[in-house]
This record gives sequence, C-alpha cells and structure tokens, in this order.
Amino acid sequence: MGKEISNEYGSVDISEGVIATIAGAAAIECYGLVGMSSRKSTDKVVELLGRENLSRGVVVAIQENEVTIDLYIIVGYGMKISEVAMNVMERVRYTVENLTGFSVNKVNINVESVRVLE
Amino acid sequence: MVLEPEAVFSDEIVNGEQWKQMIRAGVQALEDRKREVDALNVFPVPDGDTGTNMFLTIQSAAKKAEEIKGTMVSEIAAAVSAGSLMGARGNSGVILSQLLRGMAKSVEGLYEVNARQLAQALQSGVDTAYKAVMKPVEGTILTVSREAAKGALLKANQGGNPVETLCEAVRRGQEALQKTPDVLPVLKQAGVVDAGGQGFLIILSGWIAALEGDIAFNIEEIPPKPPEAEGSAAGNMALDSLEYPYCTEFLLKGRDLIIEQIRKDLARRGDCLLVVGEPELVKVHIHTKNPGKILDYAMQWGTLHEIQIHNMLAQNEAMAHDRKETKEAAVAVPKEHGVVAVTMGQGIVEIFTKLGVDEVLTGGQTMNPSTEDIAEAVRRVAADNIYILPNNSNIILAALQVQELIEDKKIHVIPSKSISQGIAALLNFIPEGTVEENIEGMESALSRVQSGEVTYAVRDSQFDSLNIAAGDVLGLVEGIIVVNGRDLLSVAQNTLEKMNWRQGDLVTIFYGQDVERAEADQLEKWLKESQPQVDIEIHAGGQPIYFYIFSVE
Repeated sequence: MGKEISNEYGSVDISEGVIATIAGAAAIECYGLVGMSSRKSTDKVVELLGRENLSRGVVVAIQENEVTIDLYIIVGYGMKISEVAMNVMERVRYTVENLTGFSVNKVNINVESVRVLE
Repeated sequence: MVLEPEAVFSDEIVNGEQWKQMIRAGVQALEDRKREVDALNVFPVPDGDTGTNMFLTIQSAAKKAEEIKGTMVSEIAAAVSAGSLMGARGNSGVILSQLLRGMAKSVEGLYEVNARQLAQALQSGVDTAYKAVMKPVEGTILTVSREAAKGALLKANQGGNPVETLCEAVRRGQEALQKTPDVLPVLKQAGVVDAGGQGFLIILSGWIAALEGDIAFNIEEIPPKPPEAEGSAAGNMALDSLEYPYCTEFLLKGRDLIIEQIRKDLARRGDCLLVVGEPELVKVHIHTKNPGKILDYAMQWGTLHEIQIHNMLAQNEAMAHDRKETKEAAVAVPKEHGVVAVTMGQGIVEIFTKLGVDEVLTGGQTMNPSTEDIAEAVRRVAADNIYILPNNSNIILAALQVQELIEDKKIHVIPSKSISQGIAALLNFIPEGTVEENIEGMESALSRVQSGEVTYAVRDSQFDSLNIAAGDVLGLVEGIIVVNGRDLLSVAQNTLEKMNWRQGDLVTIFYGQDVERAEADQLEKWLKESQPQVDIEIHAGGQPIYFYIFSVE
C-alpha cells in the first residue's frame, strides 16, 4: 500500500516498511532510548535471519493518506521518561517528514519497559 | 579509592561549598548565554531551545543543591543529580542530567575532591551518559563532554590543580566542539557548531569562574547582568581563548604583596588568571593579549623572576597539525576495495578522483609508469582488494606484474585500454560490492564503450591506405589510425563518424591542453546540431598529446 505523491511527471510510492525503517533509525539515535520492543512476528523472523532490523518495534499505519507511527520503546533507568518520549516523538516526526515529504499525523510512544544500566 | 602518592598531584581541593558555587556559577553562565546556544540549535530538531532547556535543567539542579545543609561534596552532587533528573528538559537536558548523575556516582562518600577526583567524576559522567543510548550520535554534546573529560584526566594526572584541570577540559572540549560540523553534516550545512556541546562548555566555564573564587551569588536572586567583569571574563575563558593568545607566567618577589589587589587588577587584562602565593612571593599565570602590560604592572610591586611567555596560537596550530596527521593515519583503516588508475591531464585526474579512485598515477602514451611505480601507489591504498585501471594498452602488462610485488593485497587488473574505458569501468565500481561483482561489472563495462582519440603525427609514415605526413592530425578508434588530415575539426568529426556516434546514447569529449575551449565548443555545437537526440558531455581534460579523447556509449 504505502503512500503516494504524484505530479504531472509521475508518482512516488513510499511503503509503510520504508517509513518504519526511517522512524526506527531516527528513534534509536535518540538519547535515553536503549532498546526497541518487538511487536510483530515478522520482526522475530527478520532477527532470526540475523539481519539488522531497524523497523523493530515500529508500526506504521497509513489510512486515508494520514501517517500514524507507533513506537514501542525501552528507556534507560534514571532518565526522565516523559522527556525521552517527547524527544523521540519530535525526532521521529521531524526525520520522517524531512526525508519523505509526508506530513506525519501522529507519533505514539509506548514505553514498554525500563532497563537498568548496570 | 586508591590514593597515589600525594606529591605527584595537586593537593588543592574543592569542598562542598565550592561545589555548590560551581553549580550556581554554571547556571549564571548559561543564563547569560542561553540565547547564543538557542541560536545554534539545529540538531536533532531545529527548534531553537537547546540553551533554554539546558538552563532550566541546571537551574533545577542548583535549586535542589541549595536545599542541602550538609557540606559534603557527595551530598551536594547527589542533590544536583536528582534536581537535574527531575528538571530535565529536552534532549540535551536529559544528557546533561546523565552527566551530572555519573559525576554524583563517582564522588559518592567524599567530603571534598581533589583535581584527580574531579576529573574522574567528569569521566564517570561521560561513561554514564554513553550507556543510555543505543546508537550514540557523534558530533554532539556526547563527543564534546567525552573530549573534555579526557582533557581533565590528562591535566589532573600531570599535577594540575582543579582550576587548571577544568581549564584543560574546556580547552579540549572546545576543540572537539569546533570539529562537530565535520562529524555531523546538518551542522555544517547550517554553519554552526553543536548547541548542546556549546552549552556544556559554558557550564564548565562557569565552574572555573566559581573556583577562581570571586563569584558569590544567590541562585534565587540572579542579577540581570553579569555581576562584574572578572567573573564573566573567566567564564568566557577558553571559549574565546584565542582572544588572549599569550600565556604569561612569572614569579613576583616583593614585600607586602596584596594578592587580592593584584588579582583584581589583572583580571581585566586576560583570562585563566591565577595569582597565588604569600606576601613575599607570588606566582602569576594569565592568558593575555599583551604580556608587556602585565609585566609593566607587576614591576610596580617588585621584581620579576622566571618569566615565561608562550604564544598559544602557535601551540594550537602545532597541535592541530599533529592531530591532522594522526587523523590521516587513522583514516587509513583498510577498506574492502580500492582503486588505482593511470591517467594524464589535470581535468581527467580530477574526474577519476571524483569517481572514487584512491590513487591516480600520471602517465600514458609517452611516459608509462613502471610496475614499481604502480606497486608504490597500491601500497599507499589501505584496502584488501585493489583494482588497477591502466587506461592504456601499453601499461596493462606492467600492471599485471604488480601482484608479484605486493603480498598483503589482492590485485585485480581491469584491462582498460583508454581513458573512456577506465571511466566506464569506474562507473560500475561498487565500493560495497563483492570482488566478483566488481570484476564482472567493470570488465563488462569496457566493451560497452567505444574509444576514440585525436592526436598528431610526429613523422611521415604509411598506414594501411593512409599517407601520413609529419604534423598531420590523426584520428584513432580503439587505438587504430582511421583518418588523417590537416584540420583538427574535420579530423575530429570524421573520427566520431567512424565511431558511429550517431547510433550512440552518450558522447563524452575530453579536450586536451592544446585545444582552446572555443574549438571544443565548435565541435560540440556541430554534434548537437547534427544529432540532437544524442547526449553530449564535454570536459576540459587537460591531457597532453591528445587533442581530443572521445567515448561513445
């Protein structure tokens, strides 16, 4: 499915997978986020195959041309979770919008767990 | 903690009260300059609030510290850690809170800290901060704080006192900060350094000002303007240190020297000021614009001894130069594939370099590089697989022998006979591909281009049915003479016709050093007018001997 931009020269199709990868890559560079929490069975298959899975813990839904991104994250202990979540939200939105040209409707952050860093 | 013999290290300490002052001064310094930091903010999201966020974070830390009645450094640091955690705002605020948390862990149980413990605390902060991110982005506050901690450790281990230790931390952090645009392209595009890193250094500068002892203010009643020149001069230290390039040091001997007075008088004349000693003997250290004025001033008090003046600008440059060399050495991490090409002409060399050739050797028809020359170039390229593009049939053999001289690298000769073939091969080079893919891709590209050259005859000769006179213009296709004549343009046109350029998609022309741009333009115009659907590319190749090198694809 994905999302499409078109003009008189033709059209560009960007799939959910691409948006998920961009979102995932942007998220793991966010400070305070120490892991992504797998949500889909396909995540596990990809990981079994030993590939780096950037879209792990990212679910992208495109409905009626609106992009919604759900992220399932793990935050390091000792950090203000609300701030980390806000940063992830901002950064993911900014990066996806900047790279794809789509406007992102919502970025939902689900903090799945907190990890204690020795 | 294991204590090393005291004598080696500075025994100056920082007590809890001073630690509190440091935090306050950090707030003050950032308050004064947060707009400057906001203006730098382009990463990770350009919303221009980094300075404000960091300020609110450290302010919350300082408020918590004020509530502590105890005087142990560890108690205050713990309060700072808790305060910054609760008040953390924004990405850099969160990172700052982790740096402070790591510092608090490091000083746990200590009443006061010496320079080494202070440096170790900074390092511990960096260690903690780095743990809380999956993929640290370099060129940010993380990089700057890491380098600052390194500087601090170095200085403390050399016996620096706490002020000198922090000065070195700021100096080194500043260097890292200046390099952030090279690491993060978004910064370079915006022409700024990293905002978070700048904010962190401003805080550290505040700490230095506090330890120099002349700042005392209450966090709740922050004056609208910097309290007085001395504090902010010291606060600006190092950040603008090149404003005061001369590091001036001397001993002042006299009677009834008033240290406070000397310090106050000198503070206006530079930064990183240090005035210590007794009424009979004072040591002065200052970074200044004009060492002469400092010495003149000191002469009023007594006699000068062991005067040392260094130009730090020159030192910095020397160090920058050293670092550049180490950096270059560091870059030489072996990659998988490297390319060595033989070619000639400035313009063509540039094109090859742009296309990713690691080493370009000049040579060609009349000056073939030897096997040893090529092997030498191969040695300079740190890669496991080296592809050689001889770009001339006379050089292929020399290239094939290179493998015998090189033991630690795999050599693959792509038998390109002309510049055009070399370029076609390069366009099919995939730096991240496999050896097989590259060999196959590059070799098959060779046959897809037709090469033509236009040069001149050095003597009379007979070739097939052509009668050639010395000075004739010659057209060659795949190395075989096909046309001759007296007129450059018509020979060039005929050569292209023999290459069936009208059936091609793209004709590339490199004109040599003996051809005027206008002549080349004339040829280009003719090509475009007679066959508009063929793409024409024209480059100044700058090659000797050949007027034109053509390639038709």
